[in-house]
Amino acid sequence: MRLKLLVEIPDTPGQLLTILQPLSSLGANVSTIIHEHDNRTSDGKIPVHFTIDGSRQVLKRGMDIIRENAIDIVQIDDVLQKETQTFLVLGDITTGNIMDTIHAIDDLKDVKIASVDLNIGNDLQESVCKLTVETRNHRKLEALRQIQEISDNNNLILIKEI
Amino acid sequence: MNSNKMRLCLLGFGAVGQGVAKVIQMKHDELIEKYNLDLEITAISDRSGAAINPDGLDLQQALDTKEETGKIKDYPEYGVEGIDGLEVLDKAEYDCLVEATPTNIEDGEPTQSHILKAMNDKKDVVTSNKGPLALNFKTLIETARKNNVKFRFEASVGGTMPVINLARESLAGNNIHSVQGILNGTTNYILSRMANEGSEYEPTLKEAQELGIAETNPYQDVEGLDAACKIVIIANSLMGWDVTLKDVKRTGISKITSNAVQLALKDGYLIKLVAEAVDGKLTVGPMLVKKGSPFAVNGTLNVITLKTDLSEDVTVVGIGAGSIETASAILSDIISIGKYNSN
Repeated sequence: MRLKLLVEIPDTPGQLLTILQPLSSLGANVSTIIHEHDNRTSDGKIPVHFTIDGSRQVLKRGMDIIRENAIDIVQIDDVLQKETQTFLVLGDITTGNIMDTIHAIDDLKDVKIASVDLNIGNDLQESVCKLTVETRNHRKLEALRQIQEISDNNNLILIKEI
Repeated sequence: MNSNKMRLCLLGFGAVGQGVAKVIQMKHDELIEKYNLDLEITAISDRSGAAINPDGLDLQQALDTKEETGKIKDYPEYGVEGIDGLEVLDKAEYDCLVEATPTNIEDGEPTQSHILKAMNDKKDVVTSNKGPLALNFKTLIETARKNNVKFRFEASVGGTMPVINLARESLAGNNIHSVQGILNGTTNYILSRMANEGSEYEPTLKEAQELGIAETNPYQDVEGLDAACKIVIIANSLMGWDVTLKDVKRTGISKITSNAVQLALKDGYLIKLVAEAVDGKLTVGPMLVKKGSPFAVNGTLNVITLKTDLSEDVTVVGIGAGSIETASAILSDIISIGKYNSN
């Protein structure tokens, strides 16, 4: 059988081998590899598309090995495993309340904060924080609703991605 | 073959009204040739009064009078002082009202009374005015239906960018299930300049005011009211919702700092004021748009994406404001009514 995978790998030498070597030793045949160098993630990783042929058992073992190597699987056969959204949060953000907001978001089910970029405003300017958030198990909309609620409760303006 | 004469009563002679007079003057002969449609303006009104001539006004004379004295009442021979819009509608002989008075989003007046009176007098209506459409859409549509008159309002949404007529005609048969758009040119200009120049909000707003892009009182644009009116009109007319301005959750752009714009840019995002009608909810607020996406339009451009069941996403981009551009949308509505009536 044939499997299409989209993974995100760090842009450092040898990363591709951590996927290819175990697949090869299992007897799976990698028929396509496409890098998206011009479409990096906010944390600098590169999306890579694989098409792999092999028995069901070999493919399942191959996926387990990829996960064991802490490689992010974004899509399996066009089904999203992980969705990423970027937000800006604006307002009178003190370091205390931005940490509270980040913790509250990080505590949500199936939600992980992938990166935080904070610009504490000088003098009269308000602060702004950029958050990149990953959601799993198709919880993107629910996570968005909860993040909106957390921002509203802290009197912060939430600017979400279109 | 005799051409079909269509007599117009033009209420409002500011930037849009003068634009209408200019494009009709410019295109008069071409419209007869192309559509067999002979457009004639028999009445024009502004705050000072009106000019009314059942045999048709000389449009160059009207434009010159307005330029020289600022008042249409000074139009030679046919000028009338101190007459209001409703009286003009009583006195004028016309087939179609072109309502181009300034937008009032408090109660939609006097535009709403003008439109209702014309409809009840069995006249067709074309308007660019958002106020009554955003406040009392249902009443206007029902009055037009009851009187069996045509009511068109393409110019009220997105200026020259075709939205209403695109959906009704070119996309006929499609259901539109959601809409997202940048529907305000002023805020898009300000946010584009902040991204391109790294400038702060206040000086950029001042620059926009000096260039005549932003109003002296920019409240309706920068706080998202103008975009909110437009998304209400779109939701009501294209998606069959029954909503008004108070149903829109609205955030403006006045709190957007250059820090926020620059932080977004670091990851390839632009901040844009986006209006949405999605899942039964109307929102207007700043959103992150990927550089290079169809929404990354610069300057005063508008853009809208209609999400449909048969045609997937359809996106149009166009100039959202301006005298001639808005008048062009009004003209397209007038032609469409003229063609329909001649069949």
